[in-house]
Amino acid sequence: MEENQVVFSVKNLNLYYGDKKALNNISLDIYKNKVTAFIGPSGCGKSTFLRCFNRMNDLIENCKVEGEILLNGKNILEVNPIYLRTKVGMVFQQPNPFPMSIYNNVIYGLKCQGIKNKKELMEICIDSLEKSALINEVKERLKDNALALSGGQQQRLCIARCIALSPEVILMDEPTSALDPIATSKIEELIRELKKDYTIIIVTHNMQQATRISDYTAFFMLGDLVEYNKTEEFFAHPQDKRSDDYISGKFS
Amino acid sequence: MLKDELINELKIKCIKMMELTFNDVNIALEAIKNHTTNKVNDDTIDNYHMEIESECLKILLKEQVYSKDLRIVTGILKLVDDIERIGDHAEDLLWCNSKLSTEEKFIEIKNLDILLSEISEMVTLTLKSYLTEDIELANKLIQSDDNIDKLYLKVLDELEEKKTLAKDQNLIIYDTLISKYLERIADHLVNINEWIVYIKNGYYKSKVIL
Repeated sequence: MEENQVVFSVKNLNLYYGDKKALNNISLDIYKNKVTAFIGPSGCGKSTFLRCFNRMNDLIENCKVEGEILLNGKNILEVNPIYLRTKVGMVFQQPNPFPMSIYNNVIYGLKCQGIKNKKELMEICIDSLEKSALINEVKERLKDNALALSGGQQQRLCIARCIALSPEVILMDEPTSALDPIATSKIEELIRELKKDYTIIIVTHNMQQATRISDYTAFFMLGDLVEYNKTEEFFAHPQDKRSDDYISGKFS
Repeated sequence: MLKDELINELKIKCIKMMELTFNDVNIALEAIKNHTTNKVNDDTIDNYHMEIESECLKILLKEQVYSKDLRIVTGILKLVDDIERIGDHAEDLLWCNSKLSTEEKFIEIKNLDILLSEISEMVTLTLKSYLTEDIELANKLIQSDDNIDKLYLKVLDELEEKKTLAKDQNLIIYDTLISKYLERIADHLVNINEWIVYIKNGYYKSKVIL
């Protein structure tokens, strides 16, 4: 793993919801232009951990985080979270376009940043829709309401909205679990394309998806990081019995 | 049926197929060694071959198999081809043996007897290496192929030397074929042992393929 450039470096991270410890002393590195998958049974802490990378857990009452998460060497706990979220975008399980036009959805974050130049906004909008492989389907109807799009198109629109802010890292929390196989396949293909420009961290329950699209896999259980390895190595030769049992379906 | 049960059943079927096939080989080896005639029918082996292949594919289609389970299913899918070929060669051996006339069988081909005994031992040990997943034994059997190849060449030399003693040249023709089938059986046994190593640790011919 050493040959890759580290984007995120997590050191001794503990997370508590009130008195309950949800993440236990996690340390790992996330590599540039790679797809890293977080897998594990429900409640193992993988989504909680994902939310740490753009401080979404700050919004949860009684949530306390200890340890360090360094983004390019800088502790994100010392960075303005609004700025952080432009660098570390997020795509959720359910597509969540805003009830406005496709165009306005894509440029929403840019407008919040104060960019008003219409030409610039349109250029970024087109570029983002191209990168999210949606442009051919929506170029004639940018003013249409985004809620009229299909689920798969809505999810790609959310990816476009995220890309418009030029993030370094894209977090994806089960981005295809609400989609049909065709839309899933398009998103997976898109992820493979996006990793040329971005670093991607994805939470998935679908292990075959993890093997298809990720370069690295981290397996979590009961708040512990059990194993972290190259994806092919992880699924072919898991080093920890708990990982082996989980991927072999010995328990859920 | 649960995935574990499906894979366990697959392993059991593979053992049964191997036992049936190796039993046919031993029948053929005994017949050649004792100058007797016999017959085997490999239809059951062929049926096992089809059934196991189909079950492997169904498991790959329906189940999420990773780690050791994936190596077991793909390893068995590969090694049943070799078992099936060995079954065919057992039939071939008995057919060749039946072509030899009784009186000619008394010409002793020493190296052929050694080859028969080496193959017999290799067959027994291959079943053992599969049952126990004994990598050390499997690797030893893979390496023993060089010795079998040398022995095969010695048989050919001996047949060449003794061809003038044979009144019926069928002896030379069919003993040559017998020794070739024995050498082929050894090759398939080597392949089986290579898949046994793969099932155990993911290495195939010294390279990690999974």
